[in-house]
Amino acid sequence: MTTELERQLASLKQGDHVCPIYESVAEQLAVAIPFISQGLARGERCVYVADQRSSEQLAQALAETGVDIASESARGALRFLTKHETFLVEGKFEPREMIDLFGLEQTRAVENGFSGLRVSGDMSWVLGSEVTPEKLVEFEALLNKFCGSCRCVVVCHYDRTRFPAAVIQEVLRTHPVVILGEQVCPNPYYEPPEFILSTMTTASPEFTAKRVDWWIHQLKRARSAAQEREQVLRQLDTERARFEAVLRQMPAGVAIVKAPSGNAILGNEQLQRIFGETVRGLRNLRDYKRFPVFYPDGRPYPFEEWPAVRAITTGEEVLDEELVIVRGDGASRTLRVSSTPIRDRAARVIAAVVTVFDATEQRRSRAASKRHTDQLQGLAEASVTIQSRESPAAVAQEVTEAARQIVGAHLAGTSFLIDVDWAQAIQAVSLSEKYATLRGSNVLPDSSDIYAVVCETNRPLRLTQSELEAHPRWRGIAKEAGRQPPLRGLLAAPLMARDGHNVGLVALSDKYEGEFTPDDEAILIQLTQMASVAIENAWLYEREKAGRERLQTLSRQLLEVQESERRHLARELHDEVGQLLTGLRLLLSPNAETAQSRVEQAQAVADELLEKVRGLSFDLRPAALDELGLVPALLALFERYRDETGVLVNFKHQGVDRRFTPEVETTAYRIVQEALTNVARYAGAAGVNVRLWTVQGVLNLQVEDRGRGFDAEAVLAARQSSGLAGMRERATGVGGRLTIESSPGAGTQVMAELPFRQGGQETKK
Amino acid sequence: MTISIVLADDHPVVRRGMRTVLESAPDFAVIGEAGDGLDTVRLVGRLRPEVLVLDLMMPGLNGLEVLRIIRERSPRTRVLVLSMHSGKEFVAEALKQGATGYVLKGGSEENLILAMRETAAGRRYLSPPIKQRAIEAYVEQARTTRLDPYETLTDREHEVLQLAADGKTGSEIAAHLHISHRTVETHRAHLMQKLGLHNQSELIRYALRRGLISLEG
Repeated sequence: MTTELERQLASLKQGDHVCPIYESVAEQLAVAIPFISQGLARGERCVYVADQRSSEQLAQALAETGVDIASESARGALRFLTKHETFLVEGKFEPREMIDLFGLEQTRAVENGFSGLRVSGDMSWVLGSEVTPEKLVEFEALLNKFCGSCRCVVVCHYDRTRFPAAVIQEVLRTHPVVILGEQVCPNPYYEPPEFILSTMTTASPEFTAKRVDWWIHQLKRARSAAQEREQVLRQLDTERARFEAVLRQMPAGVAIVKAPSGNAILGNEQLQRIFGETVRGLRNLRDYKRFPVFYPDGRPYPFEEWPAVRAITTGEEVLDEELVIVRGDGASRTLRVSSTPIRDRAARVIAAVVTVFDATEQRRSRAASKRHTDQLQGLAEASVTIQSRESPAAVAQEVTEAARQIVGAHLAGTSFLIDVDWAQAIQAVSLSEKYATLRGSNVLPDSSDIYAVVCETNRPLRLTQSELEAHPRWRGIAKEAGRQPPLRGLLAAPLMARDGHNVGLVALSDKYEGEFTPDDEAILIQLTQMASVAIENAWLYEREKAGRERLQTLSRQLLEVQESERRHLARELHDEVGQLLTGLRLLLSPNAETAQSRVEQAQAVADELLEKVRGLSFDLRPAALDELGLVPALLALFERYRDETGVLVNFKHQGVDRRFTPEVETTAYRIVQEALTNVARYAGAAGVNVRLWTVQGVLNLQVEDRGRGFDAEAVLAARQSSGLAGMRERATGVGGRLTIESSPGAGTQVMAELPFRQGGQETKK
Repeated sequence: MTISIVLADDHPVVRRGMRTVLESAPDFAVIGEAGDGLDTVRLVGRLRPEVLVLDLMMPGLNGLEVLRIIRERSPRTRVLVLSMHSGKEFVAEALKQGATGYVLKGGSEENLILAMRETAAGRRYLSPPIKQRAIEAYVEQARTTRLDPYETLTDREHEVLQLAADGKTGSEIAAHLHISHRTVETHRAHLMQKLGLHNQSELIRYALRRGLISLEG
């Protein structure tokens, strides 16, 4: 470690002539040792002149500081000389010869490759010698002249406790710089060599005048030096104030950390804001370790890699390193840190400036902006996939998946409304990896009453978990617990048909991070709107497709019916009518039996023919239906039916003994006819009830038997029966409807409701 | 004493055959012929015959319509219907509209002449095989019967009516019958419509009246 004295000694340079005035051996060595060390370091030849004891002490002390005495001496860099080898050559002290000797030594040193000569002498040898104070002063004054013009620095040690004050006084007059304790001081009592060497007596007026001039000159110089120092201090203060203002204004946090301790000696307010505390607690590097630090990707940031630590330990200049710090209050901040070492004149790192920029918001907004872009892209893609699905179930699956992924949640579900009570059937579920194990199993989000709220109000719902649980319609998930993922908050939006009525909802829960935001809600609304349109289109498409298929089936069946009726007619005409006509023709041939019997036979055949044609005509379309109306036609039908099948018809009617439009009459007649045919064919019943009545413009008819019955739903769904489908088609054809209620063993009831008024008025025809 | 007759049939062949048969009897005088319903009405109005021989199937006005008009405008003219239709419904309808006799086309000549004499005398005549009793039975059947709307209810509707009268809610009925709530509501709407009921209290009153529930229950 460098002491203040060493630092000041290091400022001595060639040409300087200095005298430490010491009061103890330790004090003397404290100057002599660094003076020699610094000379060796600068490549100067160092000569120490002293008595034996002093030289030995110095050599030992030097060796202790790590100087290799033997090798330094061997290469001539370090020499210990006694007074006899230098000042007292031939036993007497001659100042001018001494100066010449110094000059010679200096020349030799330079010739030997040294950068100059450094002489340190302990002047205690003068004591007890014959050297007079006059000679000593002359020597010191000459040395001033000499040093001013050569590559030599000379230090003369004087022991104040041993030299008389008169000598010390002269020493003070002849050294421009003195060393007192640990201070290297400019000496205001120094006098130029001309004064000392002057032949004038000190008492002469001329000398006094010159000396006064010199003193005034010295005073002025001291004064201006003080002024200069004050000015520098003032400037320093200004600079410091400016520096501190800049530090305060800087958007970055700034700290100055001393090397190598790590003691943070300065930190601005911004830094305090970033760290959430002042830097006063950072006294050494160990104190830094209480902040957990990470790379942006989450790996721990090794302590020795921290920018400030690198700057003060290795002198590295660190620029803009990104790291994440966890503060004392638990908040984590993303920081961009730079650190620059500060070096002294000897290029040693004495401190580091650390600047810290809080990039948390920047990073967050960058992440948010990326998320926004991703969401928009997701919406665009979802819009394509959702619109391209043809079935409502496929649309539901797409919108569920898209909503969960775009908003970023663990759970999503879509359900369609199936009941007037706002009950819903789940159409699609999407689960994140977190619930991957629950996928595929029949696990659905709880269909508690809260979802019905969305359907009823037809408005989105956005709740945190606590809001959800506080909601009056929340019924908990206790009964489903364990079989389904738990909810955490809820975001739901309705699915709506074009006319605005509710058809279901899409719901999300357990957002990846935090609670659902208004932005999430906006996204879900967009998705549900897309899905609503797509679902309605898919429904229309399915309905249209089903209608088309039904029509195709029906027209095929109608063709079959028509064909079988023609077959029946053809057979009747050929087999029955044709046979009778053939017989008639034979009877009318000339070579037959007696005319009387032929005519009688022919009349009988003609009667039979007439009856056949009447029957055929009735089968095709009973004239009574057109001429007389529904009830007479039905009565005729029932009679024929009973005769042909043996099944009794119990007919009751009210308000139908009147005319309706031909369409309604035909429809009612054909439905009853078909239903009766079915009873005879399948029911195995002895009787059948037929009821007709009118209620407020609607003609109701009911054909009921207590026979075998059948699975009406299955038969209708299979579209196998042309008869049943035909009845239904006829009913819907006049704006009415037909229901069939039957189950095996429970008989069958065919019920038709046929409106016969249009626009509230009875049709006239 | 001659019986004046007008023939109405859209087939000229039939008219000619008729005239031939009728004019073979000395006391029958065919005074006019008509080929459609309107002509018939006009002709009868002008000639006022004692007997109109009327085909039920004619263009213009239908035979039954003609019959009704003539009964109003020329009440003294008796009508003998001559028809292809042997169905009781036609016979009954013709008689209801005021015809006196009803003969089938293709019957014997004797039968026709007999029918003409009976009709002119104001006595009902139905040609074989039509039977007077069968016609009466038919008329009885065709008469509007009192229909109890209760019997038009389906089994399901009966069940729903009973449960609703017992005070069960739609959801309870649905659970009880293992059908959806919506289906229950449909049944309920249908049965209320059939029974002419408009609300739950009317339903309860109806159920009480019919003994489906009792006050003691």
